[in-house]
Amino acid sequence: MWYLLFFLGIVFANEEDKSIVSSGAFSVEGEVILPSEALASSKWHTQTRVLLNHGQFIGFVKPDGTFRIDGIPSGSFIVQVENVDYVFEPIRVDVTGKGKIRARKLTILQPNAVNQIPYPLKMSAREQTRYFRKREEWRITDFVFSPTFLMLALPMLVVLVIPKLVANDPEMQREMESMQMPKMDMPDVSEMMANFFNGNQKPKKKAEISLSSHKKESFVGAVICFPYIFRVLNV
Amino acid sequence: MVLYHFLLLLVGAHALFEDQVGKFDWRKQFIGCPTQIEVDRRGKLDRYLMATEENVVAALSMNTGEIVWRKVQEDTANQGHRHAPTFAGNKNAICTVSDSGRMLRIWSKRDGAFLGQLLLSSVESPHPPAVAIENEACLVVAHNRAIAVSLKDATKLWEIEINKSNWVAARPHRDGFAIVGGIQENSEVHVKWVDAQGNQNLNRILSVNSFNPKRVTLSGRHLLGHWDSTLYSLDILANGPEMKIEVVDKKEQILEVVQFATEGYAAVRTTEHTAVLNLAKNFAEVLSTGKSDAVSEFVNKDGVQYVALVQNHVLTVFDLNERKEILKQVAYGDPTLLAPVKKVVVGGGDKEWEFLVIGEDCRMDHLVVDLNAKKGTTEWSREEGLTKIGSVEMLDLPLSESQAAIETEFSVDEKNVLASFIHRLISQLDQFKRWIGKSFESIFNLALVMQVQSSSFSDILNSVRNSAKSSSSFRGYPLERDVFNLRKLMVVTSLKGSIFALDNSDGSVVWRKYLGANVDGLTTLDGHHKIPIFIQRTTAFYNFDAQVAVAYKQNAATHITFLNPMNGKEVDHQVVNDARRIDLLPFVGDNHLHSIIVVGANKKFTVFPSLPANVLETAPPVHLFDVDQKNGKMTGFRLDLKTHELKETWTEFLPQWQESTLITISGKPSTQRTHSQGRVMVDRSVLYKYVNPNLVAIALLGKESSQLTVIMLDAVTGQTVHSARLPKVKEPVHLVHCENWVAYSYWSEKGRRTEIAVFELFQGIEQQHLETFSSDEPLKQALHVEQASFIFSQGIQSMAISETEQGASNRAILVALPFGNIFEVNRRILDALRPMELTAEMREEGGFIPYMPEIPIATEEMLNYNQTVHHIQGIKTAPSGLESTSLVLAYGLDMFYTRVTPSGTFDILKDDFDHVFITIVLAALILGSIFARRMARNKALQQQWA
Repeated sequence: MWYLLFFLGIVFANEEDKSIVSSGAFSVEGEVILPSEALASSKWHTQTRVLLNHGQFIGFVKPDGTFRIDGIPSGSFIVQVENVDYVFEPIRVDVTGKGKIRARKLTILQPNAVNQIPYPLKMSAREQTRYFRKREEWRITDFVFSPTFLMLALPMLVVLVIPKLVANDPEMQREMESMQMPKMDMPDVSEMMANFFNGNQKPKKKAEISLSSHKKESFVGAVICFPYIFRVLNV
Repeated sequence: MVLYHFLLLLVGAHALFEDQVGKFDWRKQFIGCPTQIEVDRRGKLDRYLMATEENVVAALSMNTGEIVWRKVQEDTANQGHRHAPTFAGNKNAICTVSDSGRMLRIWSKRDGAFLGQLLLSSVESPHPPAVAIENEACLVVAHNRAIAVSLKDATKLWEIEINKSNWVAARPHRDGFAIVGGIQENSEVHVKWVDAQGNQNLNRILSVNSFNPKRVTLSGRHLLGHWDSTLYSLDILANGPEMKIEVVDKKEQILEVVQFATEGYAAVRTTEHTAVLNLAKNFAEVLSTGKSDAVSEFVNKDGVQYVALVQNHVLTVFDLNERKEILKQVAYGDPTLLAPVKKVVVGGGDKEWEFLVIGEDCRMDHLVVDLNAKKGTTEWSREEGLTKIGSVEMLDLPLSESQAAIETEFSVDEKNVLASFIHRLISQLDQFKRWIGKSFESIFNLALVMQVQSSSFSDILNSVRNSAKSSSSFRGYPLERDVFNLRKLMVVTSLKGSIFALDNSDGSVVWRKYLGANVDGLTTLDGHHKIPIFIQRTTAFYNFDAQVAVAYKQNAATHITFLNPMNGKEVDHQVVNDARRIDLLPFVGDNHLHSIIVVGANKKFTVFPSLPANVLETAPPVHLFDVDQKNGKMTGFRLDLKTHELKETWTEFLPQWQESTLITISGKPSTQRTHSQGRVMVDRSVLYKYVNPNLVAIALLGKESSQLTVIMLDAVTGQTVHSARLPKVKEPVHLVHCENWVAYSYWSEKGRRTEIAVFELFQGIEQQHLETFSSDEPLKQALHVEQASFIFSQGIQSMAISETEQGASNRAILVALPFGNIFEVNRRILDALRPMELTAEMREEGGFIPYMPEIPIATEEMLNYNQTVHHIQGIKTAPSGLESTSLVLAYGLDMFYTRVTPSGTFDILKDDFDHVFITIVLAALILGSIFARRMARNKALQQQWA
C-alpha cells in the first residue's frame, strides 16, 4: 500500500512539473459528486466552488464535476466544497515538500489521526442542506391521537355512549346486574355543570339520587368495553 | 447526538421557518467597481460583461441590471493586488486574467460555467497583464511571457519569452497575435507577430521617444503614446518612425487616449476639447470643446460608426460617417447627486440608445434615450461603491410629529391649567386626525390592491400583508420612528468617495452624497482604512436635528463634513491640514452636541464646534491613546480642555514590534451597557465583573515566532491588566471585545484548525468599584481571569458581537464563514465558565452547559440560510427598541441585513403567532359557554318541573 502510494505521488509530482509554470507549487485534484437529482439542474457546477483552508486557495468546478486547485505550497489543507444546496464532508489533504499528496478523513478533534482515503479526491454530497426548521402543521389526526385528547375523550365516551348501548341490549343489562361491582359514589357531570353555571339555583335532591344510580351502570359498561374502544381508536 | 440536541434546547437555537424567508432580512449582491466592460449582444439576453476590482467576473442583464452570473475569485484582501483583472471574449467563451496576473481562467459566456484554468505564477506580474483572443486560442502576456491556451480547457498551446517590459499589449492579427512590449530605459518598442502555432513571424524593435508606460494605448495596429500635450502614433506593423499628431495647443494637457474597435481610429480627451483621431491619415478632428468626462465608440450592425461623449452628465452622440450629431445634449439623472463620469459604454443604438455610465464613485447608471427625447431615463442603477465600505452607523429615526407634539406638551412649563388642558385637547385631536388619515389611506390602498388582484381569501390576506410591508418603506412617508424602533437609518461611507443612507427595512438608498474626487480613508490605529462616522447628536432631541460628522482624506488634507443624517444636508465643513487624530468628545456642548476633537502636529488640537466657556470650565480631562506605527510605542495623553493642554502621561512599547504585525486594537463602544455587574456562581456567591470602560484589547501576531499576543491595557494609566500568549498561531486572527471579556479566533498550526479562545476578567467575589469606575484607583486584589478555548470547524472571515439596548439579553457572537454563511454563536456556548463536569448542585440549579471542545455548527442556524454572502469584511450590530432584538448588517462584496434574538423573543409575540387561531378558539369558547349556560338552565328548569 505504502509503496503504491509513493509511486502515485511520484507520478503526480511529475505531472505538476509539466503543467505548473513556477516551481514549488502543487495542485490538488478531485471530483465533486452530486446525487442524480441535483445533476438535473444544469447550473449546479456554476454555483460550486472548492475552498482550501477556508478560502486561502479556491478552485472552480468544471461541468463534468472535476476540479483542480493550482499553486499550492506544501503543507496540510482542509478541502471543502461550497455549494448552497448540498452539504459535503470536508477532507484533509497533506502535500509533502516533494509534492506527494495524501488525503485523509478530517477529524477536527484529532488532527493527527490518519484515516486514509483515495486521492484524487472524491467529494460526495452527504445530504441536502436543511436551512429551515419544519413548521408544525396542525392536523386533526395529531390532535385526536394525542394522549391528552384520549384521556378526555374516553371518559366522555364512557359517560355518553355506553349507557345507551347498554340500555338497548337487555342481555347485557342482565349480565351486568349479575356481576358484583364495587359501589362508588360518583358525582354527576351534568349536575356539576349545572351547578357551575347557575350556582345560586339549588337542584333537587331527588334528581341527584336517580342520576347517581344511572352512573353506576355506565361505569360497568366502561370496564367491559375498554379493549374494544382502544381497537377502534387505533385503526 | 443526544447531548447536542439537549444543548440546542438549552440555548434556544436560532432557526427560521421557511415562510419567514425575507421577512426580516434582505440581501444585496454586488460585483465591485468595474475595470473592464464589454457589451454582449450575441445571446438571447443582452448583457454587459464585466471584470471588477474585487476580482469578480460577471454578466449583468442589460434590461434589469441583475446579475446573470457572477464568479467570485480570490479575495483581493488575501495577497498583494496591484493589477486589475482583465478579460477578452469571443462568442462562446471569455478568458480572464485575475489575481494580479497570477491566474488565467476560461469561462463559458452563456452561463459562466468554468472551463479551465492555468496558474501563470504564484507571484504578481511585474507589468499589467494583457489578454487577447483569436480562433479558439487565448493569449495572455504576463510575467514577461506570452502564453497561448486553448479556449476549450485552458491547456497550454505554446509559450514564448518576451523581453523584460514595463508595459505590454496584445491584439489578434492575421490568425495569430501581435504582441507589443515597451521598454522604458532605452525607449524601445518590441513588436512580435506570432501565428496560431506559436511561430514568430515578425520580430521588430522600434525606437521611440517618450512612450511612458502609463500613457500608452494600443488602438488597432497603432500604438498611441502621449506626454503632456504631445501625442505620438506608431504603426506597429510598418517600419516607419512614430508620427506626431497635432491635436492640441501647448496649453492643453492630454487626459486620456481611448481606443476604438474600428481599425485606424481612436479618440483623445484633453483639458480643452475632445477629438477623434484618424490614424491612417494622421489627423485629429475636434468633436466638442471643453473638457469631457468620457468617450466611447459604438458601431452598429450596418457598420456605422458613432462616438458617444459625456460632459457634466450630458450625453452627446456623433455619427462619424454622416458627420452630424445624433443626440444633442441629453441630460440625465440629478447632476447634483451624481459623481463625475469615469466611463461610458454604449449598449446599443438605433431608434433608442442605451448607455451604461460609470461614475467616479462606482455607481452604474443604465440610461435609455429616445432619439427625440430631451432627457434620458435611468432604467436601473447599481451602487457598486457599497463593496468598499469605510464604516457603518445605524441611527434611530426621529420621533414622529405626533410623538414630538406630546414631548412639547410636557416640556412647556405653563402654570395655567386651562392653557395646558387646551394644549392637550389640541394634540389629541391632532393624533386622532392623523390616525383617521392613515387608516383611510391604508384602506384605500388595500381596496386598490384588491381590485387588481383576484379575490380568493388567501390573495386578500397576502395583499393585506404586502400593503403593510410596502407602507413600512419610506416612499411617500416621512422618516419616522416605529413603535419598537426597529426601523433605522444606516449611514454608510464608501471608500470610493460617497456617503449613503440606507433604509434598513429593504436596503434602498434614502439619500446619497458624493464627497469629491481623490477621497481616501483615514488610517486607524491598527492600520485599517476607514471613513469614520461620528454621531454628534442622535435623534433623541425632538427640537434639534440629528448630526453626524464624517472625516476623510482628500488631496492630503483632512476634511470633516457635518451632516444631518436624515436628509444628507451639509451643516458645516472643515478642512484640517495636519490632523493626526480625530475623535468625538465624550461630553456635550451647546445644544446636546458632542464636539469633534482634531489633534494636529506638536500636540496642538482644535475642537469643532468650539465649546462654550461654562462647559470648558467643568470639562473632565480626556485621555487619548496612540500607537506609533514605526516603533510600536504606545503613548497615553491627557487632554485638559480648561487649560488647553495635551500632556503625555505614559509611554510603553509593544513587545517584539519589529517582527510582529498589529492585528487589532479594540476598545469598547461608549454606548455599550453591562446589565449585570456580576455572575452568580453555583454556590450562590457572586463573581464581580471587571468592567473597565478604558480597557483596550491589543492583538499582535509574530511573523517568525508565530506567537499571538493579546494585551489588555488600561488606556488611561497604561497599565497592562492581563496578557495572553499563544504559540503556533497563524492568520486570520479576529478579536472582539465586550463588557469584561474578549473572544479571539485564530488558526492553530498545532491543531491545524480554527480555534476560538475566550477570556473573562473578574474582580473577584468582592466589588471594588461600587458607584463609578476609576482607572486611577489601584486594584485591591489581582484580577481573577477565567479562560477557555474552543474548536471551530469552519474558517472565520469576520466576527462581531450583538448589541441590545440594555445589554440584558445574552450576547451572540456573529461569525461570517468563508463559504458565505453568517453563523450565530450564543455567548453561553462561548463561555469561559462552562464547567468541565456537571455536579449534582449544578444539575439542580439548571442552566449550566458542560464544556465541550467543539462548537456545534448546524446549517439550520445560519442567519442567512441560502442567501450566501461573500468576502464579508465587517459586521455591524445595533440595538433596537426591543431588548431582545439586535440588528445586524454584514457587509463585504455582498450585504446582508437581519435581526437576531440571542435570548429568544421574550418581549414580543413570536412573529408566527397565530392570531387567527387564537381568536377562533376564544370565540368558540365564549360561544360554547353561552350555549352550555343556556342548556344548563333549560335542564334545571325541566328538572324543577319533573
